[in-house]
Amino acid sequence: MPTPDQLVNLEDWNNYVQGSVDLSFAHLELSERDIKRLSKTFKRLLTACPSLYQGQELRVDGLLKTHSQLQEIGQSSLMDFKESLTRV
Amino acid sequence: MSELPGTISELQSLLKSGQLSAQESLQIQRNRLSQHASLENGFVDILEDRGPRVSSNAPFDGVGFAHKDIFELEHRFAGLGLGHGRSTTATHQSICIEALHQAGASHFGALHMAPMACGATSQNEYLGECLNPLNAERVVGGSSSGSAVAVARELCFASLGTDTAGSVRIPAASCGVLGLKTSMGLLSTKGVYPLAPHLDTVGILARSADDLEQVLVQIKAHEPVDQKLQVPALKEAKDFDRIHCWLPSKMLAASVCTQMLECVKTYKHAQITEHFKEESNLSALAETLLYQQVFQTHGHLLQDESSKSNCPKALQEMIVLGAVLPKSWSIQALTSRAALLKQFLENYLKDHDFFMFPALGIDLPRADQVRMGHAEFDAKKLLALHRFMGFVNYLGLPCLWLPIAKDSNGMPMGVQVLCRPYEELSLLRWAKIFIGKRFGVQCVTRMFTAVV
Repeated sequence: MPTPDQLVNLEDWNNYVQGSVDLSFAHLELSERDIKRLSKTFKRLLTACPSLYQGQELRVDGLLKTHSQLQEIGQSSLMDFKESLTRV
Repeated sequence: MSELPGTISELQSLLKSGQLSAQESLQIQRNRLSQHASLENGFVDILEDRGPRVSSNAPFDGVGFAHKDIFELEHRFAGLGLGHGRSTTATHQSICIEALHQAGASHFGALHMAPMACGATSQNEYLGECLNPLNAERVVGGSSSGSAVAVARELCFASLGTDTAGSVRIPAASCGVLGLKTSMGLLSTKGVYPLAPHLDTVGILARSADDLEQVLVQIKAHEPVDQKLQVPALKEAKDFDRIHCWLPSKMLAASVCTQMLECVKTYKHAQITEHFKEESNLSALAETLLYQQVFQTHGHLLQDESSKSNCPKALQEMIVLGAVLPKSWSIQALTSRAALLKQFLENYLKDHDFFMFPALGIDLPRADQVRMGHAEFDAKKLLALHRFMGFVNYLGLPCLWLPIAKDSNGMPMGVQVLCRPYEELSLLRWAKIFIGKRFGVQCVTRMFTAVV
């Protein structure tokens, strides 16, 4: 996975976006316009929150192949968060 | 008597004194509805009165409400901004709506919203737009558009909406009504169609801080018993007034800065911060979580062509974003929330009770300037509507939009004020005093316009 610094031109970003599409959604057949729009959003989010990239260095992507695994993480983290709201 | 007062509290005084009966009050409101309820004024469907409730002499006897068309009702599927609601024998009423019913509230209608709650304006390819009662050329914010319009038009006393990334506060700000986004989990979302469950909250729009407080308290008092075990309680109201104000002057119109400064300087314990360094981080994480959650909740709509054709464009775009975001980003957004909440409270609310910050940051735009596809469309103005909203949902905190002045076009200018979790009652007590001192009235809408 390239670092944000290595993504210097639009083509790099486009490849980055296409590489991260969930396999179960390959049928989305994103148009060039879609990819451009998504690239812009990726870039904007990474610029606003560079720490998002740090998560990728953990190579979590490689370990998590499905969104259902993500949902499990979501459920437990939501419970943690709700509990923290009542504690503060 | 042909006209009613502007707030629930004033109406209750009339009812209590015997000058008006609950039936007469409802008749006056129904008459008004028959003249003015329309899509332009926020109404998708007008509802008939339901049968008798458990108790008589309930606090909201004689008080009419109408709600965003996202709540499941007895025998009615929500229309979700895609069309009219559908009859059914099978649905369960939303917990919040049922609680209001038990508190005596009459439910007048289902209100306009952005399709499936996806939109910062009232733009709606299925229903058309509703109109801003203060000035029809100006935008109505979304997604709880009809709630703000109906409350501002005085077609109901208060309305429930939902807020996932500003959907109560933005419409409230555009129509000059008070909009309260509640603490995450305080009001049950059972029976509310989800957009992004980790961020979704039920909110309230009304014309006075007292009315917001009454609605909130009565929902909590009339929740079904088993819900009480699962949801947190409101904290007792306290006389808080120490304010930490984020004033990012470079991001705001000069007039907004001036008015915010004027508000803050009247408080003895006030601190002004130019830089809220965590904001961009928090907003990006909020956005990431939003896309991930929308994908998780609605991704199936893009699985085949028939369901895709019924999926609003804005929602499709969010689903696709959720599908392509690296999963590590989503994990980070999901797992870092508790620590970031703690950090925020430590940095900004340790020595203060409230955090005041901008709402729109600019004068309210014209509707055409934020209408996608229009020649006058200006993406920056659309962004300005929700720029300062999402991080609040990410942190799960309660937040109130309230007016502080009029902008250069005579439209409402306001701020957001948030506080620690479940301290809504202290926030509303403070707001009541603030509004009273600043405007000399409690019914905020009557500062902006003559009622139709």
